[in-house]
Formats: sequence, structure tokens, C-alpha cells
Amino acid sequence: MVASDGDACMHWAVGDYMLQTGHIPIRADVFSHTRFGQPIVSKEWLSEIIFAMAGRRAGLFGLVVVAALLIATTFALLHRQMAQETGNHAVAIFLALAAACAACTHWMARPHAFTFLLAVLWAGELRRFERGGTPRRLAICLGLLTLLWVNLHGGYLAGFLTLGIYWLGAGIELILVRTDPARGNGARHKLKVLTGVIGLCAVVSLLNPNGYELHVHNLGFLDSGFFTNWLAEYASSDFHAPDSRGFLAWLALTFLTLAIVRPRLSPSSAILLVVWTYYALYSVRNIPLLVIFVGPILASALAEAAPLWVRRLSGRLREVDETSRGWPIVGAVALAVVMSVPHPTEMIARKWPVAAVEFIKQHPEQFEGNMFNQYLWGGYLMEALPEHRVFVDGRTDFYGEPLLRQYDNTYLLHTNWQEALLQYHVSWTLMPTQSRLNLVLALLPNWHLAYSNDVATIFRKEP
Amino acid sequence: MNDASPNPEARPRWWLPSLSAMIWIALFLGLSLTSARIVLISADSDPALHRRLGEWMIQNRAIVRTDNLLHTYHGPVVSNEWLSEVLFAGAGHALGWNGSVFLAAALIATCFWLLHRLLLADGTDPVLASGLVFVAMLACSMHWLARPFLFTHLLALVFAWQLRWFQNERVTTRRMFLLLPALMVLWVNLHGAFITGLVLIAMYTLGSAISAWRQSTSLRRSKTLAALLLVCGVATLVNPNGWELHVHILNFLRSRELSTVTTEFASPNFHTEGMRGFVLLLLVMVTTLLVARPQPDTTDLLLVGGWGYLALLSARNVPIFALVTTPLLAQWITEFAQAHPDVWWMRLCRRWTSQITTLGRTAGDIPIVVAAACVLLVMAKPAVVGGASLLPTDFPPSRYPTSAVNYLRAHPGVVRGEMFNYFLWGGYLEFDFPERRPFIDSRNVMYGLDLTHDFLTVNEPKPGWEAVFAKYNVDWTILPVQHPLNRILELSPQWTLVFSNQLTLVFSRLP
Repeated sequence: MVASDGDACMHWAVGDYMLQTGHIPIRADVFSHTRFGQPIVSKEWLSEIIFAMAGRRAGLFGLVVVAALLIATTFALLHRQMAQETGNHAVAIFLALAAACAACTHWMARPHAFTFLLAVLWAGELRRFERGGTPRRLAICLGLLTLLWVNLHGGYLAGFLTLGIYWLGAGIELILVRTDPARGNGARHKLKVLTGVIGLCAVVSLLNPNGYELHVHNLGFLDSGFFTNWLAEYASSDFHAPDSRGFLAWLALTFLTLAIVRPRLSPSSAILLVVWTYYALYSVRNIPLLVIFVGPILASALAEAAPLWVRRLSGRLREVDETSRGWPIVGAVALAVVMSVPHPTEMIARKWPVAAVEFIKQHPEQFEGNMFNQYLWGGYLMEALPEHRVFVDGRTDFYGEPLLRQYDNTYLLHTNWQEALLQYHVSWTLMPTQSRLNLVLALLPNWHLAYSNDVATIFRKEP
Repeated sequence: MNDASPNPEARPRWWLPSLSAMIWIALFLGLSLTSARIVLISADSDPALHRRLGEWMIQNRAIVRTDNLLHTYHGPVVSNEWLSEVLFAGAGHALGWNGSVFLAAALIATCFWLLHRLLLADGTDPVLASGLVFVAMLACSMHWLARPFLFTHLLALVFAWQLRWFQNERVTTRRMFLLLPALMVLWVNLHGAFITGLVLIAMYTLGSAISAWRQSTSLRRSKTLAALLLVCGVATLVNPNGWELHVHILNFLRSRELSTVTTEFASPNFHTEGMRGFVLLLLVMVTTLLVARPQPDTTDLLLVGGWGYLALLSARNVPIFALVTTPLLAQWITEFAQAHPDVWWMRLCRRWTSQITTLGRTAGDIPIVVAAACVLLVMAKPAVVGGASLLPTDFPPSRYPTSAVNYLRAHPGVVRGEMFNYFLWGGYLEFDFPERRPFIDSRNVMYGLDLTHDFLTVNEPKPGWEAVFAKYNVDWTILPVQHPLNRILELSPQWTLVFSNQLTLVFSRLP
């Protein structure tokens, strides 16, 4: 959860800086030498502070515990919503497990874990309103969730998209039932309420340190073909990889539910299913949102068509659930496990430049001037080597396309590969040992090998 | 759906193309007369590789048994596409690259002409059939190249069609046993994906057996299909390599590493424009399931689920998914339309359909022959009357190292020893520069993982690249300007630049 990429460390480092300096939120960069002092649109400041507080308390393990709590709570809530809405505990358990299997590819100790939790609460409130909930409750809940979400993670746009789909669904419903005055009035009322809630949430979403600029920034990022093609987590699923099997099973479950159960879905449910399935196919990082938004729709369909033995099983599970008071026991067991398992204190040395960082710390006189580092290692270096500013890290939206293209030119050895090294006065590099950049630096007379092991290699430029 | 009564007095007009013929002609002309013809032969360099192999076989009147194209591999070759390679080479011999374009465009156009005919024969509304064929075309178009798998698209459609009609009792068992094994003999010699046909029969067999078991009816049909599967399986042995072909293909499919280094075996990348047709097809499929709420039988579930899975696994299966599922979509939408005759879009469809049907009764498929003959005449102009081609078709210098090859041919002394080449240029170099053998081409099925790993070590490049060069006596390279190995060779005192232009750098090792 912390070692898949360097972003967990990066958010921790940013949050730690905010706690240390009291600059909440951070307004200008202090971590890189390439964009030092440039203004930052701090879109995840609140979650970064929460992760940093956990990190201060228990190091990397603290980050893991926060993320695990968020993810476990998300899927517990998803299960509870499905069980309450369908009345079928067996179906709810089955779908919650299927959802967890599909979503687990993106379980990392990063701010998007807050989006999982907020998405499940958001979707639950919208479905409650569809089933006859009051407009007042919908407005209050979504307003509060918006306030939290815009300060926790940029994924709040998923909430707005879903709200927009419910609005569109209400509009289509209004057209479909136009000949039935009673149902027409209901659909019209729903459309009015959703329009008002969209307006309210839009206003509340401005209550963040960056105001409307946050939206401009995030929409610009998503609109950029460069970023969505450059970042691995925005790539489509590789169905050859074993970790995509959960998503594949989810797609199969969706197909079989539609083809065999043949549910009669409301317009909003149908659009949600189509839109989020497309987004999940488009980008791996949308898979958790797909299962959160669409899981309850499939649960309702499956519960309606459940055979007798599933209903009996569900009844028995419900009895157990109603009579049990298991939370204290579950909590105690979880706490015991958390306290007893070995706590990770450092990143995995066979994947991260832990030894190289140690070498740099032991020989500070050798490493003066600016560094060129691998993109994925940037976040880790921000946390582990704060005395040196990085060339680049996981804050791609902050660095922007021109700098990342320059990084690519050097990293991939394009014809102008030396341009970034010269422009940013790079005097040493910290790259994976297998990197092609090391091969050319070894051929340059003014660059020398300073350190190398199986993971990382450092080259230093002569003054 | 078609409520227009036939007019017995309507006289056939041979010059008027039917809707299906219009699809054939539009596709064929679009692919063979526009810049799409360049894409057909040069989107990758495999058309050149297949043509080169075919030419060798025609010249030597023998099947390729050992490789003589690469300097890195001298082992046995399992020729799994020899017949299509000979056909492409024959067409190329007669008309140059336009011959390959003609054959590929005709195969693609025939595939969708047949799909349209099949939908109409199933009772699909002509407007709906045309729309669905258009969606299927978009889904398949990302894989339109002058390569042997075009035969697989056509034959997969024929197999799916015959099996579907057999299930609906529209063709006899005798016809199935006469037609499909014969086609399978053809298929196994045309393309390695003949296994698609066996998978289709297996799906119908399994679907039929499950349906019979659930409905407690006779297993007669599934037994017939199982026997057909066996006969077609035996028919696949009629190829120059016998059962070794099957071992060869299964080894490739089982090797995750080999199949993942081949781009077209990768999962679809939904960021690319080429996948928009597939997305549209999936959208039509899901919308149909949500709105029409059809009752697919077990075989339908197996076909959509199975080929859907295979399409998500490998982008190259998307066309098969499209061709197999389009008739099912047509059936489901047609059933829905018949149950809801007053839906507004059905009324609109019927209005258009009645006009088309009135025209269609007098139209035919003869214009296809006329269109093909006209294009053939245009393409054959240099061979018949001499002079330059009216449709110049060749590998574009903006993507292939044509200038570098011309230079090296004119100055053979500037390089010596063996070559290291860019992966995507392998087939092109084998065809256009046969006097020098490349390091690698796209046939990783043939040369296996060891050479692939060696190639990747240099191509990355990673530490150890020099050892690979020493192992294969590589003394010169031909690579795109941006290739990272060029940066190393530029700085290396043992290497010198002997050719450069905007696309290509050629480095040679100093003596």
C-alpha cells in the first residue's frame, strides 16, 4: 500500500511540511529544484495532513493503518447499504467481496482512499433520495460531503459526474412518463430537487483554498491527453495481468446479470452502469468507483432474481447479523493484529534506493548541486532525503507537460537528452541501475560513477 | 418488419447495386483508391515480410522449412500461413504493392458484404442491418492490414454463420460436414488463427449440450456438433507441418511472455482512437441488453461472454468478437422491434426501409464485379500499357528507412558484418533490402524467447547490450533517430555515423 509508487511518501512529506511550518495549505513548492517557489494548487491538503499526522505517530505503518481503515470502512458501508436496500444479506456479501476483489488493484495509502469512502456515502444518499428520501437530507448530506471532498481529494469530480447522471436520469424519466400526470409530477419534483442540489454543491465546492481555480486545474488535468496517457494509473487494464482478474470477474458478473436476470433499470441506474463501466475500461484507477456506484444496482437486480436457497441463506445470515454484537470483538481482533504484525518502517530495499540514500547521507560533501531522479522515486526521496530537492515527483499536475516532456527526453535518451541536465544545472543523478541514462553518462568524460548496487546507480558530474 | 408488398412487375436493373453491394463497393473503393491503401501495406511491416516469404516459396516451389531471412536465427520454421503468403506474393508479383492492396481490400469488403447479406437473410431490417454492419466495420477497422489474418476474419464469419443456421435448423447436417471441414483445410493453410473455427464449434457444442440438459431434451444436435468438431480437428492436420503446427501454436498461446511482447496480443488500450469502434460496439451491446432485455440462450451467452473475454485479453480478437456478435445484436433488436411496433424510431426505420426495399428489389451484386474490374484496370496500367502507376503505392519514406536503404545499396562498403535493426522495420528490410539480413522481425513465435530477450537488452538498452552485439557479430545499426541506442553509439569511440536523415541514423563499428 505504501511501496507501489512514491506518492504515499510524497503526500506524507507535503503534509509534514504543512504541519511543521504552519503553512496550511502549502502555496508554493519547496520540494523540487525545477519548480521551486512556483505556486501550487493544493487539492489534497486535508488528506495530506491526516496522512502526515499518522506518519508522525507510526511512520509508514501509520499511513497503512489510515488507508486500511478507509478502505475497510468503504466496503463495510457498501455491504451495509446493499444489505439494507435489497434485504438480501447473501447477495450483499457476495457483491461486496466481488467489489473488493475488483477494486484491490488500486488500494494504496494515498488521498484517493478518501474518495472511496466519500463516493460510497455520496452514492448511498442519492439512492436513498431515489427511494423516497427527503430533499433536505440530500442537500445537507451532499453539501457536507462536497465540503470535505474538495479539500481531501480531486476525485470529487466523480461525485459531480454521478450527481449529473442522476439529474439526467430524472430528465429522461420525466420525458418517459409525460403521459402519466402523477408520475410526471414526481419526476418533475425530483428534477427540481437535483437541480437545486447541484447548484448547492457547486457553491459549496468553492469552499477550498483555491476557490474556482481548483476546478479549472482539475478539469484541465483530466482534459489533457498527455497526462492521461503518461500516467500508468490512467492506463487501461492489462487483462493478461493476474491482478486484473477481479475486474474481469466483475465485468462477467455485470454481463450475466444483464443477460440472464434482465433487470428493468431506471434511466439513472442504466446510465451509471454504462458510464462507469466505460470509465473503468478506460482507466484502471476508475475501477473502485465503478464497483462503488454500480454494485448496489447489480445487488438489487440479483436480489430480485435470487433463488429460494439464496433467500434462505440470506435469512439465516440476517438472523446472525441482527443477534450479534460483534463490533467490539472485531475491533479488538483487528487491534491485536495491527499491534502484533511487523510494522514496515522503511521502503522495500530491493525496489527502492534505500542503500543509495544512506550512501548520500553518509557522504554529503559529494552531493552538492541539483539532482536528476527517476519519476517514481521522487516521492520517496522527498521523504527520505529532504536535504536535497528533487527534479520531479508524483505531482504531475504541478510540474506540467513541458517539464515532464523534458524529463522524458532525458530519461528516454531522445536527441536532446542533455538539455534538461544543462538547463537545471544537474550535477548528480540517482537512477535505477538498469536505466539507459546510466549507459550514456558512463561514456561522458566529465561524469563519474559515484555509487551503484542492484537497485540504484549514482553518477556525479565533475565541477 | 418489412410490410411493403413485393412488386412482381419490378424489372431487375443490373447496374443498380443492392445495399450489400453498396457496402462492398464503398469499402473496396475507399480502401484501394484513397490513402488507406498505404495504411493497408505499411501500418506495420508484416505485409512486406509475408510477401517476401511468399515470393521465396513461389521462386523455389517449396514451403519455407528453415529460416533464411534473419542472421540471428537459422532454426526450423513452422509455416502456418504459407497459402496466404503465396497469394499475397502472387498478387504482388502481378500488380506490385497494389496487388496486396487489391487482395486485402477485396477480402475486407467481402467480409462485410457477407455480414450484411447474412443479417438480411436473418430477417433484419435493411436500415438496422446497415447500421450494425457500420458499427462492426468501425470495431474491425483498427486491424485492417494486408496480412493473412484477413482470411481468418472472413472464414470466422462463414463458420459463425453456418453454425448459427445449423442451430436454427436452416442448414442440413450433411452440408455442415461437407462445407466446414473443407473450409478448415483451407483455413489451416491460410492462417494460424484457424483455431478460431474450432473454438466456435466447441462453443456451439457446449451451448447445445447445456441447453439440452436444462430442457431435458435430446443431445442429438450437440453430439452432431461434437462429431463435426472432431472431423474439423482432423481436417486441421492437412497442412505441411501436420500436428507440429498445433504444438507450435499452443506453445505460443501458452507462453505469456511471448504473447505479451507482441503488441497486437496486448489488451485493448481504450485511450486510442482505434478502439472507439470497439467502445461503440460495446455500448450498442449494453444498451440492447438494458433496453431490449433479450433472452439469450446458452450458446449466445457463451459466444458473447467468451469472445468478449478474448477481445479484452487481446485487441486482435476484437474483429472476431464484432463479427460473431453482430448477428446476435441484430436478432435481439429485431425481436424487440417486433414486440414494440409503435416505437418512434421503428416507425422511422420502417419508412426508410420501404423506400430502400422498393429500390432493392431491382438491384443486384453485379456492380461489385464492375467496380473490382475497374480498379484492377487502373492498378494494372503499368503492366499493360507501361508508364507510371496511377496509384503509386509503396512504403512511405516518412516512416520507413527508404533513403537509408538506397544509400546503403549505393555504398555497400560503408557497413560490414551483421545488422541491428528497429523491430518494426524488420519485415520492410527483408523485402526491400534482401542483400542484408536483419537482426529481428515480428516472428517471435518462430525464434522464441532467447532471441527476444537478447533483442530487448539492446533495444532498451540495458547493461549487457555490448555482449549481445558480440554474440551476434553486430557491426552496424539502422534505427530511428530518437532510438536511445543512437545516443550511446554517438558517444562511443568505436562507432561512427555513416548515414543520417530526419528519420534514420546508421552507425557502423570502426574496424
